[in-house]
Amino acid sequence: MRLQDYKLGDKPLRILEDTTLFKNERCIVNATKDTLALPIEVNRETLGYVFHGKGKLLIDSIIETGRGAVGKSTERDLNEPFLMLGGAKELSDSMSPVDSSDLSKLGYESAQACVERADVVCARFFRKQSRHSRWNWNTEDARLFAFMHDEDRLDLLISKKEKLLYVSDGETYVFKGDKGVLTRHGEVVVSKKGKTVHIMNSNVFVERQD
Amino acid sequence: MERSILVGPHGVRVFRRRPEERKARADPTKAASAMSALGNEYRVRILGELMSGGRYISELQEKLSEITSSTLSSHLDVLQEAGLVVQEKVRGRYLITIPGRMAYKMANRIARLLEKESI
Repeated sequence: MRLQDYKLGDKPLRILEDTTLFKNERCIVNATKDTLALPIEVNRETLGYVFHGKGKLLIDSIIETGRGAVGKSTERDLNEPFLMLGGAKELSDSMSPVDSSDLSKLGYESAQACVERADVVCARFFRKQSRHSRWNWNTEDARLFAFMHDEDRLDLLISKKEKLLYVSDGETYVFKGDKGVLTRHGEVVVSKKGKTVHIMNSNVFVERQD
Repeated sequence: MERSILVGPHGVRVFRRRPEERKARADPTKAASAMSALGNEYRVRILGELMSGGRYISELQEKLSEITSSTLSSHLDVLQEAGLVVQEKVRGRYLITIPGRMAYKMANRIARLLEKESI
């Protein structure tokens, strides 16, 4: 399924209860009750949603090395629309159609206004020149989130089984079990089972913890 | 290039330093913040506990049972603010950072030197 063929639904839904959209040992994405959701469809199949409401992202993008912890832990309010691919089937039972009061709570005068706002994040993610638009998405056990970072950039969170990738503000974190990789300006950290290679300011540190 | 030679019990070490490196001084405010975070016995002990790996607050409380949980939390806040410790938001563990390890080692080194001096 080519993501560039997406279609955004025109009938907003609302989440009936506070919901955890994704959770693993390093990351949690929550959406509160009454968060609006617009389905993202490809070939008439709902692959995910664009959410808008009050949500929260918690992520521990920290790698433990023998020299100390590197990275940061982030807690971020999700007040802007954000996109989720995967897990759509699990969510479909916990949503219902909206009425005008649900829309007005978030400042929308109509469903169309909600769709137009949601399409900003979709267009940015799926735009034709973007590499994301050429992705094939054939899996239900993976999750992808795209959060607005600023006017032009998105933060990405992708998870499949025990693998987790987080890209934010020029920093990239990859985790799989006790393995981790971090790249950011002038710094690369690779950690695996107590062994760490840390490249920083042209210095290379290699450690092995017993 | 400036050279200094240290002769110690473990051998000879030669340190080389370029003149421009000498000029590159840290921001005194940040330096003072890191030093002030070390200026408490319990905070140094917390860093010592974290040197062997991440700890939950309950584990730290067990080791530092003579202080209350609110005092422990405020010490952890000071260490976090100084960048010596980081807390995981999801798992909740506290981890020592690279500057934290350096600060702890440095504090211990100074203490050992002072002990020797006093003898």
